[in-house]
Amino acid sequence: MTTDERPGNRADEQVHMAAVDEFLAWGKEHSLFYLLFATACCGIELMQAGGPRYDVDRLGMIPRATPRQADLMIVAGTITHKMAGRVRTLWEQMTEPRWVVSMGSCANSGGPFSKWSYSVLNGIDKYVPVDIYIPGCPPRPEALIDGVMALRERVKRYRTVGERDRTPYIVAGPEAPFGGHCKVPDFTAKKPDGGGGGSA
Amino acid sequence: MSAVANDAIATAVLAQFPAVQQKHADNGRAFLLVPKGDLVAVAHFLRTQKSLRFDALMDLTAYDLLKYPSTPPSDDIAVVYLLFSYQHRHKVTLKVLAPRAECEVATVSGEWPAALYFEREVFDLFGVRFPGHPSLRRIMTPDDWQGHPLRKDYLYPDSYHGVAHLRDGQHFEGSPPRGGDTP
Amino acid sequence: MNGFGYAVDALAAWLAGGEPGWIALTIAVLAVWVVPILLLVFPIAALGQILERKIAAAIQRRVGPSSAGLDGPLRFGFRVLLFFLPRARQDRIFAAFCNLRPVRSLLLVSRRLGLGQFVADGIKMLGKEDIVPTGADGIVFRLAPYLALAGAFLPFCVVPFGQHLVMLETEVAALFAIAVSGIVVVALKMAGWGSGSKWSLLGGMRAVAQLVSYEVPIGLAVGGVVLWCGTMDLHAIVGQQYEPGVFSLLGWNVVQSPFLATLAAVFFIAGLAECQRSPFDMAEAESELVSGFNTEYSGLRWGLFAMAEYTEMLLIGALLATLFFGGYQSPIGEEWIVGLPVWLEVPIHGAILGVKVVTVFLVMMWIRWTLPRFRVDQVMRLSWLVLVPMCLVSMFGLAVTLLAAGGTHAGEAFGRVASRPRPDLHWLGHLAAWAVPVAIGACLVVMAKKKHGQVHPALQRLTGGRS
Repeated sequence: MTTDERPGNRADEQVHMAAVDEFLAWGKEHSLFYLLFATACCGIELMQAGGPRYDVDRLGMIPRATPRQADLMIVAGTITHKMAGRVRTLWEQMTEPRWVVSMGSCANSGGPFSKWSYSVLNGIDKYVPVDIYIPGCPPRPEALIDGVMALRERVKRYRTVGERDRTPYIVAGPEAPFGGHCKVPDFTAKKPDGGGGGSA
Repeated sequence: MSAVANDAIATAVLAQFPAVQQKHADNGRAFLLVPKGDLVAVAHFLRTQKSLRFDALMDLTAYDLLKYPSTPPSDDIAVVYLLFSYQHRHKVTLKVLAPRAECEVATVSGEWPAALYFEREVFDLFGVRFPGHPSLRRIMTPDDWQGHPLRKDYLYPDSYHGVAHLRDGQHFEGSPPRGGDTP
Repeated sequence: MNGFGYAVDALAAWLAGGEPGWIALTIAVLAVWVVPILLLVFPIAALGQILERKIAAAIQRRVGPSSAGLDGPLRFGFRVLLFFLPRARQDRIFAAFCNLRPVRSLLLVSRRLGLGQFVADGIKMLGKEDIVPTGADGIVFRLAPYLALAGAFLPFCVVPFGQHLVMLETEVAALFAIAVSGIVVVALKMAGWGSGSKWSLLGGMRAVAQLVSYEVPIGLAVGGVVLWCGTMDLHAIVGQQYEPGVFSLLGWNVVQSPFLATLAAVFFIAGLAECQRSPFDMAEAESELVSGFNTEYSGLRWGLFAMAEYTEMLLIGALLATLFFGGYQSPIGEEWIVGLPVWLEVPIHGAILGVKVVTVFLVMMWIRWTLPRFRVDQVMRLSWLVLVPMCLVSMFGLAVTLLAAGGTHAGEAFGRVASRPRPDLHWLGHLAAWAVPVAIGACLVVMAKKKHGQVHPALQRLTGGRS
């Protein structure tokens, strides 16, 4: 492979299939069907993300009940050692190309169960390859959508030929400088007019 | 059909089974400590006696007496039965002590089929065996799990099927001791 | 003539300038049978998915798909057209084109409407891994989606889209439509059996039980119309419903008799069940069977199943319109549309039928996103204990009406179609035909009220009682 990395010189741009591949990636990006699958309280936030307020259907995401028709697995909730094998089976039943989002502290690292539990798996990435990690306990739907947007960037770069990007991406928390939708309103600040319906 | 007072329940049982002891409970229920051998007979009596008619097994659970401030100090495992009568609206608690070494209590699933799942759970987490149970398998933990996690001398495993429990470099102050792979 | 139907024969004869050879016939068949299906039914079925998602979103107070616009396909088109240019140049030209004000607005609108959603879904399905499970029966598994699609598309051959656009004019058109759509039953059973999965098998069994049960009320409803019109030719049935004058809709079957209106309702309900739509989607009940008969299907094959489902919805709409709602006829002033020249008449009639079909389609979606699902036994009970008796009673009533009418009068000439004689009902007869069943129904309601002290709350509100 050439070491010249100027635009137009990369292998995937030289091959004529590149245009088709780009079109396929566009389709994948806009139609990420996710697996209807949740194990704990993160699942409630996942459902809420599909509800009228956050509505991931805007991004072309609808739930599918069977892993064969799903592109995206959102591991939402605590995964025990017993459950992990089932999650792995579900992941194996999904069709390529497939992506995994680890949602919430439990799926990321065991979360609140990591110290005192004998049965909770500390991180689903020990069983399936995770693309996006979303911190939070549970993360709000905004954080989930932030993760999905990050995933869409990755899907856009997916090509049938060539290497697949596997570097884990961690969605930044509410303190992150970007993403205004993640900002937590400052409830402690006093209102400038000092009245009118605020807490007394 | 009216509720029978706690003392009356105890009296009715004690008249039939002298080995049963009545204990005091703060929660307002009748509380009976039943010898292991009498359990099935007592259960049958409580369920079928017309004035008692305990038709529902609300819960069947257990706890470990090891390191428990009981007098005299004991390492038994206590199996607890919470009974309720939908007909008379009264309740009773039964307790059976099972020695740690030979941890066996006769099954009451013949009286209340609800006990089938409760007994599987108690077997899984406390290691109490219930002779007579038709299919005493683990219910919470994987089938090949080693040990019974809610016993106080349970040693947390390091890994399961070679998958380490803690992440690389993860360490917690004051976390329970760990060791071994399960299975 | 060769008997390929009016449109094919006429086009072939025109192409060959006399007795048509096989080349002219092939071209004519392609032009009249294949292209209309591809141009009319396929895009509507594909657009149906995006329509459904938008309607679902509206009912649930969501926005619905609004990120996939037409920019993706457009970029692909530029890449293909400008293949001789380097990639960066292609990007620059594309960006310049997209920044043109009208193009930009159009792209924004398409994105807001989610118009590219079905393109994205289809493209993604093309690119998905194609799995045939280990335990599956390979041939049966692979064949099933194509059969389902064929069973959904073939009945469109006999549906008249206009005076001069019927793909296959045959004396047994109604029978043909029902018989051919029975292929779907076989296809679903094949999908369920061939997948080698218990969920698929259960879903397939349910689908077969449901479809076979609901073909009985559908067949009886069509039988009622055939009894009334005296013909099974769908185009002749449309001609039968022609009424000269301004209010053409007075000639439609659905207003001819309350029994025909009942049959129309039965046909619609049974049609919902035939399409496996909610509240009858037992075959892919997600809370019970993972996804029913298509649990093991991925990628394009599943897409074909979805397409077959939407096509079948269109088919039910087209048949409902043809049998009961005047087919391609306009509700007002049909007299003048029939007289138009062919090139004007066919698109107008096609559009009117399209509007009717899409209306039925929308009602089906409305029902799907509003009502919960029936249980299996309730679905069966509805078919055998409610719909079938209603059909039988209606057919009996129709037969009695025809007997009472005594004679027939010759139908009006309706364009190209030779209209059959119609039952000769005086206006008093029409009045009686509506009044008697309505009176019987009112009597039943009053009797129920007397006996049980109350009727259904909705009926009680209708009859003026407190609810």
